[in-house]
Amino acid sequence: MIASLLVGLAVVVALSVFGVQLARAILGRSTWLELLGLAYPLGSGVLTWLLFLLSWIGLRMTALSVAATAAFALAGATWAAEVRRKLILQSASDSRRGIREDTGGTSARVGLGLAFAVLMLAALVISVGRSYAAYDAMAGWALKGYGIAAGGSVLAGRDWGMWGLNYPLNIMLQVATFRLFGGDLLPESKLLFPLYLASVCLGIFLFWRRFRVAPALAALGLMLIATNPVVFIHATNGYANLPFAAVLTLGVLTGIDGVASHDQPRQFLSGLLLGIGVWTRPEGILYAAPIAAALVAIARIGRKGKVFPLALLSPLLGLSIPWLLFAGTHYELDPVWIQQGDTAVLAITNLLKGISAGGARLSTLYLIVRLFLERALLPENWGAYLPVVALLFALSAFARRTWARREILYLVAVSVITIVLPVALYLVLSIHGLPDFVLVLRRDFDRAYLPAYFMTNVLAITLLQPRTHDQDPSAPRRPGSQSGMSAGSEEAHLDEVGRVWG
Amino acid sequence: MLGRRLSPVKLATAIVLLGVLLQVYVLYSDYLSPWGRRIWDLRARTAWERSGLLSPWFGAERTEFLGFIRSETSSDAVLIFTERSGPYSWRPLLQYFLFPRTVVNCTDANLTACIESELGDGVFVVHPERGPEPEGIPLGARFIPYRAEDRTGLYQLSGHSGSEEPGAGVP
Repeated sequence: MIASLLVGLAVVVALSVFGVQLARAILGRSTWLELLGLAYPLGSGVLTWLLFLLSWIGLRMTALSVAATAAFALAGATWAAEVRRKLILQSASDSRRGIREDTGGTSARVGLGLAFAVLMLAALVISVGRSYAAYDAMAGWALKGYGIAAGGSVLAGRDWGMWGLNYPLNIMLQVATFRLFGGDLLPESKLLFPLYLASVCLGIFLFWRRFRVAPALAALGLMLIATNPVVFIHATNGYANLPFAAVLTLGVLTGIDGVASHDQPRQFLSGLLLGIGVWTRPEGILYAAPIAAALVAIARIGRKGKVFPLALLSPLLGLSIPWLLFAGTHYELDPVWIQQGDTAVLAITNLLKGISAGGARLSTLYLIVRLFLERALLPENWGAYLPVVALLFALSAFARRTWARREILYLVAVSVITIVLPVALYLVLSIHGLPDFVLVLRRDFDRAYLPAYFMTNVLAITLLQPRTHDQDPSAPRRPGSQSGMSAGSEEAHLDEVGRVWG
Repeated sequence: MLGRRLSPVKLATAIVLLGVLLQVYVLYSDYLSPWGRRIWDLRARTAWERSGLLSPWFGAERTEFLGFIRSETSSDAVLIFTERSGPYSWRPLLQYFLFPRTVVNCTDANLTACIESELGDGVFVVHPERGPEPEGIPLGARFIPYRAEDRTGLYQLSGHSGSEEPGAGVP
């Protein structure tokens, strides 16, 4: 037991260290808190993508070959990070100062840190303790990982569990990695799911602080997101929806920050994270493509920041194209899998057919919205999400210059995309006349809504900035500045953000 | 209008705080506490056993039977299930619980032909629940009982078995 746990933790640490070095290589300089938030999703996503490519070209997956791949990847990322570090001049704002400023006072830091740490520890214990006990977790994500580990190839995944090779393999290859090194006896691979929740919470918190949300509100907002029952359950049940929503949200927020602060490396990192999203769930490309398009369009047409399309799109396409080619080659649509829950692939497969057929009826749209609202208003499902977000939106009407700020338009656009997409997917699904469509909706819509959940929370709280710097004395300052940022210096703030965080 | 003392940010902070408190209560009472207790009770069980015991479809009885299969068969065994509905007809879940054994769903009309196609020394026909035994069990198949009174258990096929009389030769 202890040995398995130690092996599992070693895998987590190795993947996270790789992620940290990758983030350093891309961003140059950052804060340890930001690196911590990016570490696991970035390291695991890129490593499993490399393993996938190597396996596709015929390299057998064994503990040795995975270790060698990870070692080469880590060495390459470390070298690149060091080269990048030497290219950047030291500034007055070292990373530690940046963090202190970004997290508020000492008591807020300690309180936030403790409460969040306890919550994440509980998530880790429950996640591992309950093992894989949900249908998709057992029959899809875990089993396929075990099959790949036993067969030594991603192609072996076809014979195990549901979906054939229709689903992206990020989570499955992570499970396979845990299996190869420690046997997944605990199962230690379930450590990975709460890590995504921790990562996205940190990423959202830092985004709020970067865009001047008050420390106390940002800290409580983080706890609001993490304690939501649906979100917490998805951090422990072994489904890929939370990892997908987390990576997507991190990609969006990094992208908005990068565009707003004219930061090319950050936009590259955003593209990489969105690409990992495509590599995590089959509907990933349906989210990543319009989100990237929205970032580019708003920056270009709305003149809100500066976008570097090549930096943003090249990693996104680089990660997506090989997977989509592979998926296209090995695609199968089996009625048994659909019956057993392969609804995402069915909806995507028939998206064009559904649109060309005039879509589904308005009554189905009403049904989807009604059922979601019914569930969202019950505290045991979505907690306080709907009332709190509604009240925050209402309060934002009293906040200063809320809708004029450049990040808001991006957040609104992405929130709309993340709300419309799951509704559209279920509308398309409804045209198949599944006999238990309402059951499927009740069972599955919550998890499809997770990206929208994160984005609407981010938007609602970002709308509420302090009126003046006096109400937020810990907001990031210019290096050497004694008085902090004035209320009207948003442009200067973003330039500074770009420098401190770029 | 909101007064100077009651700024939107302060009000928002208070609303979010209330939301957090409500969610912590719900999360603790509905999820952390019951799941914590269940997991603690099962702490000595293996990962696959906890999967079975905590899943809504298997529970203690079926998990115990799956344990019986795992203990009676080698990891390269082929397991034939003939159920047409219920958890024992869900191949992906059975693959998970019995990994790395090969699981075959033999639910065709012609069970005899299906079973014959898999004939071999490491092949078992699984009879998991009380009721009529599977059709087409070849002559000479060895019965490994799980619960004798229910006639549940495993039929171990042999590569040399004849199959002229389904069920014949079974004790």
